[in-house]
Order: sequence, then C-alpha cells, then structure tokens
Amino acid sequence: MMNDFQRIIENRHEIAKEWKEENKKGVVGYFCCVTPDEMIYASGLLPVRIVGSSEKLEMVDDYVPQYGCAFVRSCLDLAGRGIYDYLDAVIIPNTCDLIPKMEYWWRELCPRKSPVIEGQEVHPYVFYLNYPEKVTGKKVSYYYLMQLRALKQYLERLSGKLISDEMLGEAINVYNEHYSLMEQLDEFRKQDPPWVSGYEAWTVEFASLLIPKNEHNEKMKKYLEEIPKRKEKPGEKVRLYLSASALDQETAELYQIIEECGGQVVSEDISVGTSHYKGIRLNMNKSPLEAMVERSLATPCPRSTVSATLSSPYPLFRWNYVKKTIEGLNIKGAIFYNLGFCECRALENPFLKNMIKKEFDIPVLFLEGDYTPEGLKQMGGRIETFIEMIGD
Amino acid sequence: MAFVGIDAGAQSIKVVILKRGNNFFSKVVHGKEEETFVDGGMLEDILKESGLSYKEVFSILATGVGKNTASIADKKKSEQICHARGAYWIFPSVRTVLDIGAEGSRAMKLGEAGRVVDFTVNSKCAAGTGIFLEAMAKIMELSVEEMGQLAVETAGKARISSYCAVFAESEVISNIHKGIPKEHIISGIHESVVDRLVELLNIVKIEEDLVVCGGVAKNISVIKALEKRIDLKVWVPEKPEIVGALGAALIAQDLYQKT
Repeated sequence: MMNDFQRIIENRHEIAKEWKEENKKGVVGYFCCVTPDEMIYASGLLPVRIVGSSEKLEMVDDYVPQYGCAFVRSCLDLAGRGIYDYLDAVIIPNTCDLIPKMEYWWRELCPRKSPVIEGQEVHPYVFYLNYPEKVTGKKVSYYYLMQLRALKQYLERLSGKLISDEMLGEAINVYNEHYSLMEQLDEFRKQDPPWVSGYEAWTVEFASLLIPKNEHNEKMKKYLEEIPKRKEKPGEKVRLYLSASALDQETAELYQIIEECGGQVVSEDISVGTSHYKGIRLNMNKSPLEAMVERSLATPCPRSTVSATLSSPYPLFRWNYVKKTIEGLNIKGAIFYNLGFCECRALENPFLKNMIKKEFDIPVLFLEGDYTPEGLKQMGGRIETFIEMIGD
Repeated sequence: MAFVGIDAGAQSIKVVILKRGNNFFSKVVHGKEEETFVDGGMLEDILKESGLSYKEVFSILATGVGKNTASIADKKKSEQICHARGAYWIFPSVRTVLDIGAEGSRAMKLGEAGRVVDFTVNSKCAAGTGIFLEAMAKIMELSVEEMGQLAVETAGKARISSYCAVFAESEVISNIHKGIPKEHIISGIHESVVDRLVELLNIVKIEEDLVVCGGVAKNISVIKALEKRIDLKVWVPEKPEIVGALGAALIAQDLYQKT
C-alpha cells in the first residue's frame, strides 16, 4: 500500500491526465493550503496541488530573478515548458510575496484564449483568489465569503453545472473523513517508537493532494488497517519536530536524511503537507460556504497576520499552532528548514525558536535550503551533529 | 590499549593516537598521501612510529568531511562534536570553540561537562575558511604563513568587502594596482576572514573561554585581528590542527569505556 502512495507521487502528471481522459472532466491546479480545494472537488473537477521540480530551469529567468523563491521559479518554469498543460484552470491565492504575482506570470508563460465580453474575460484560465492579508476581524469573513462565491461561480462556468449546497456538503463529508483518517495516522506516529516513519506519513498526505479525496480515503482505510499488522517498526531514533516551507517531492528527501542520521520526525508544520489537514474540521453546523470560509481563514499559514491583542505584541496564532503540534510527543529537538528567500517563515523563525526553547527546553536547528538535492545532501553534516548533540 | 582518532579534512588527514595514561601521538598527512591512508595502508606505519602495533588499538573513530571514506574506522562522529571534545580536553574552561578549517568554519557553544549545546557552520561558500586565505596568498605571491607574519605588526589595512573569494581576488588585484602596501592588503584579507568568523560566533553567542582551533588558528595575524574585534582573549592550542582528531580519539575512548 505504501508503494501505491509513492507511485501516485512519482506519476502525478500521468495520473491527472488519465483521470481527465477517463472522466471527461477538467483538472484544476492550485497553490497553497488556504485554497478551498474541497470546493473544486465538490464541482466534480480534480484539484491538484502544483509543485516544482529540481530539473534545470529553462524559461523563468526572464520573469523571476534568481533571488526569488526557488519553489515559485521552478513551478513557473514547468508551466512555461508545458508540463502543466493538462490543467484546465489555475487558482492563485493571495498568499506569500511571490505566489500572488503568479497570476500574470502564469498567463504570460502559459497563454490561453478565453471568451471576452466588453473587454472582460468571461472565463480566465487563471483565477486570482483574493485571500485577505489579515485573517481575523469583523468584516474579514464576509469579504472572503464574497471571494469564495466568485470562485464558486468560476468553477460552475468551468464545469458547466451549478454547485448545489448538497454537492458542497458531500465534499465536506469526504474532506472531514480525510482529516480524521490523517489524525488516525498521526496517532501511530505518536507512539514511542512510532509505527510509521515521518517520510512515510508525508508520502501519504502528499498523495492526497494529487488524486480525488474519496479515492485517497479508500486507500487510506486499507493502509491504516495494515499498519498494526507490521512486524517491524522504524526503530528507536531521536524524536524530532520539523517545520518547513514548500516541502514537496523534491525536498522531502530531508526526512530520509534525518532518518539516516538517527532522527525521526514525529510531528511537523509543512505547507505542502500538514497544513492541509492538521487541526482542521469543516463545521457541519454552518452553511457549506461559511464552513469553507472558516476553514480557509483558520489555516495556520505563516504569511497571515491576525488582529492585535493586548496580551502580546507579536501575533501568537502561529506559536499556539506550533506548540500544539509539539506538546505531549516527547520531542527532543526541532529542525526548521527554510527555503531561501521565504521571508514569511524566515521572519517568524527567531520568535518561534525562542518560544520553543522557553516552553520545551529543546534545541532548534535552522537550515536554509536552495531547492536542490545537492543542497539537501550538504545539510546532512549539520543534521548529524544536531542529532549527536541531542543524543549525547 | 590505544584509541585512534582520524580527522579526514579537505586538505590533510590528522591522526591522533591516544595511548595509556592520556599520552598522545599525532601525525598530519598532507596532499596525495592521504588517499592511501584512508584506505588503511598508512595507519600501521603511523602506529609503528608511535611505538605501537595494530593489535593494541581498541577503537578507531573518524571525523571530518572525508570520514565516510575512512573504512578502517569502526565509529564516526561529526566534526563539531569532535572539535568540541578535543578543545574541552585541552582547555576544561572552554565554553565556545571556533574551528577554522580548510573548507569549513564552525562555532560550538559548550555547556556542562563540555557538551555541545549549540553550533553553527559557515554557508556553502569559501568565505572565512583556509581555502579563502590560500587563494588570496596565491594572488599576493606569498605563502599563507608568510602572509600571517607580514601583517602581524601592521596598523593600516585595505578594505576587502567581498564575501565571494572570486570577487575578493579582483579587489586584492585592484589594491595591488593602486600601490597599497602589501601588509595593508593582507591585513584587509585577514579582517575579511574575521568578519565571517564573528558572524558565526554571534550566532552561538560567545561565552568565555574562547578556543580557536583548525589550521588557520596558526595564523597569528588572524588571531590578533579576531581578539581585537571581539575584545576577548583567544586561546589557541599548541597544535590547533589536530584538535578534531584528538577529540575523535577521546570519544573513541569514552565510548569504549561506556560499553
């Protein structure tokens, strides 16, 4: 079963193309965990998370400078080279510094014709989701509800059918089931030693961002039944927490490097991973759209700010989330892997480091990645020392 | 009973043999000779030189960038842990260790009983390492040692602002063309190395005593510039280049005694 999730990741483009061919429906690419992919699922279209590649860049240098985020540069380069040509639409949310600019970069690198009425594109290939910078406050929810209504209309035009509340409700049920299944997997990781390695758990979650959630749920149910029957566990290793930006199939080798050095990631905060399920439930007592607004705005993304409180000059929402993902797990150290030029995470790291040291009295290691396998391998020495330091 | 520590560095292999009663024998192997050594050919000769035989060796621990090529070692540990252990053995009062090697620099913060509690290493470029100094020495048509001696009594210094060794080279050439005295240019080069080292020390936050080891620690001018910058006494072991190998031998002994 594990190989099945790995296979999905390795063949993600072919799988999406096959799905499109078999179902005669569109595939929608999106960025970031804040995008309500459950709405895309409800429309009958296939939501797939857009990720990059460590292949040599060919197209992007004319658009994004070399000191721009390597993940963004790589995704755009793939778009320009036609790797994502099978996508019928791309959703770009207003998240970190570079992602929002994707709206015009993607159009430029991947031009598509769309019907125009009085100078307005009826159905643009790229949809800009105006996710608010500040995610709390009285008027924010209403404003964002209007954005999601616009997204719903966009998806209705794309799929050629109305998305009813029943369809949204059904999608919510499927997604809530996914969150629950992922939590069950996390329970296996909480054990000491854990039943599954950090890399394995990441593989399971990442695969869910590439195929329909209902199919993934079925695979996961079988997978979860298999775990307790295993004869071997990953073994005694130093239990670690991992915080990382844009950890995708290119950079997930970090988990394996950590494991080779004698560590085991048992909990994490990762944009392409845990941020898609940890602590999330779509509220069944609200209208489906309101539930999606609530879920999206509550995503603990480091790019967001919240309304100020009297208790702290620094927004505590990220710390509260990180704290919850560390406590009670007997974690001995934390590793922060920051992709170069990812200011959102870089700016919060000193604060989080101090808070982790103060609250849990564990060491923290900072690593800066360049989105290359070579760069990852070079980190091995530092990770090794860090784990030796904890184990001494 | 003997324990061997091997520090397989980027430019040389350092071997320390820890004998009974904490007496040690050290040997530094430079250049191409190291290839045969890492394969295991040279250890017997070194042991013979120290008056020991292979049979008396209880454990061999390797460290350094080339530790994985030392197939004769039965254990491996990272450079940071080994340098910290070696420095702590020589100076039990040490709380901060700075290792300036050929290819990498690293700063370690030590806690109780010499345990490493924090560390940092230089980034991927050559700034603040021995190779940077070697590249500059080549431009100046001097040896690294000669550079160290020439700059030690100089008050003035040229400004070398570039991080990158290649850009720093062109700055040095431009200073030569301007007729700036050699000593001042060398002082500027050393100052540039110190800039990078202070960045590392600031990350771990310096606590006294500070020990500097690694081959570059033999450069008096760099050490003096560092002392001046941080306004602290810097302790340098007699043989700074073997501290990592010494630490490796001591850890091999510690691990053996634990089991």
